[in-house]
Amino acid sequence: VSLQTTSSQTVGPFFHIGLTWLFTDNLVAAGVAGDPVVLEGAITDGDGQPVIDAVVEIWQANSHGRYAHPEDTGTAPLENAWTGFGRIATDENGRFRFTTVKPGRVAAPGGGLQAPHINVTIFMRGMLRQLVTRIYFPADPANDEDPVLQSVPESRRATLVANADANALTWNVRLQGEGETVFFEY
Amino acid sequence: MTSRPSNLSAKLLAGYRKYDRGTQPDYQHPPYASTVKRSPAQPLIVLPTTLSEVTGPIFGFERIRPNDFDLTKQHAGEPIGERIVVTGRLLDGNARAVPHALIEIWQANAAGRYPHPRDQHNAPTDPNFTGAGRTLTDDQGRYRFVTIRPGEYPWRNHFNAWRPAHIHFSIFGPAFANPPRHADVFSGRPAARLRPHVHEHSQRGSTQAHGVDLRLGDDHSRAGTRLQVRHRAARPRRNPDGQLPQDIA
Repeated sequence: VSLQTTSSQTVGPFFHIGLTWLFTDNLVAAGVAGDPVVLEGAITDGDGQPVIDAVVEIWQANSHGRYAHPEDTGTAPLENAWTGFGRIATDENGRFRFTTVKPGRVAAPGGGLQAPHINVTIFMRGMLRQLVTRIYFPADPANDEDPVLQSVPESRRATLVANADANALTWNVRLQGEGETVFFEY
Repeated sequence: MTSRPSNLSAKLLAGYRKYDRGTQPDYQHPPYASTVKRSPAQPLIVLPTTLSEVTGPIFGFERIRPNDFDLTKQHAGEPIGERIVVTGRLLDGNARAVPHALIEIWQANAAGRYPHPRDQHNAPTDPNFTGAGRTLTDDQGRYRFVTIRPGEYPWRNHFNAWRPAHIHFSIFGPAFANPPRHADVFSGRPAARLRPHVHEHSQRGSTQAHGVDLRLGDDHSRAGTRLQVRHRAARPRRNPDGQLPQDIA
């Protein structure tokens, strides 16, 4: 038996009704190892206008490099308080903000390790399929050997790497146009 | 702060099957005007299948309240409108059940109005209906919602544009970003065919073939849907209760 996948659709403008209950902007519960990191940014469209009705979700390993999921059979420590999932909507300025920890490195296909990264999916009114992307961390030597980051043309790679400001990591999303963020499919 | 996993398994993870041609919408779809500036212009880059693509959040029953599946019993009084049951199964491409998956829904009330500050439709709100529900699929991938039939409502895409009655679904498959994360269930009324963001392929393709269609039965009380997520050659291990296996919990 082989079935077709259900067609994706937009979440429309009123997603808050169904999705707010699970909003999670702080992944660092008591008992989670690692220094809290504030990660913030804005989403802009092809005209540079802020996207005020988007949802940003993140999924990441804990600071030891372990996903809270049975498919991760590594031996890095799990933490009971760690889920690794965040969801928030953009505000009236198109901005979002999470508090999390820098994830550890997780296995890469065929051996080796990926650089620390946060998996991101974005959806909004005016988008019929969610976008998938990743956030990497600034000045991490592991970025130079990360198989995913290195598969991206060098001229666009910086769109996947956050910037270190005084109090936060900033990572902005440009949906279209100059400095367009790299998005993935798989 | 980081530590290296001690078992650097070199195993290759099973990848996802490609979508069947013409079953998924394009990002850029000009008849749905809002896509024009909100769609990437650069080609997407193909990700290898790594641990990051095959894992995702696992939700337990502790987050779900008893009335979350029944949108007619979330307030003091009875909501206005025709009661319907929306039920179906979440299956992967091999027709295997996807158990313990979180499904979230939201919809307009019987008059076609959302309780949302950005909804300017002049239809009345219903104090006994707020239009949000959630559930986890059971061991067989089944889900069931009790709700009322949503009303059609106007939108500003083009002159006299009306959105057909529909219920928004958000689905967590076995992995974080395993598409589709969002689908709509339609009334099957003719208005659905006039809706520009019902992609033409999804109308003649999976919408029809796979019953992503809110079909009112003879008793006008049941709606059957079947939702499919993409599958991989191998499925994540799960205990029957959906929790992490003991050996890694």
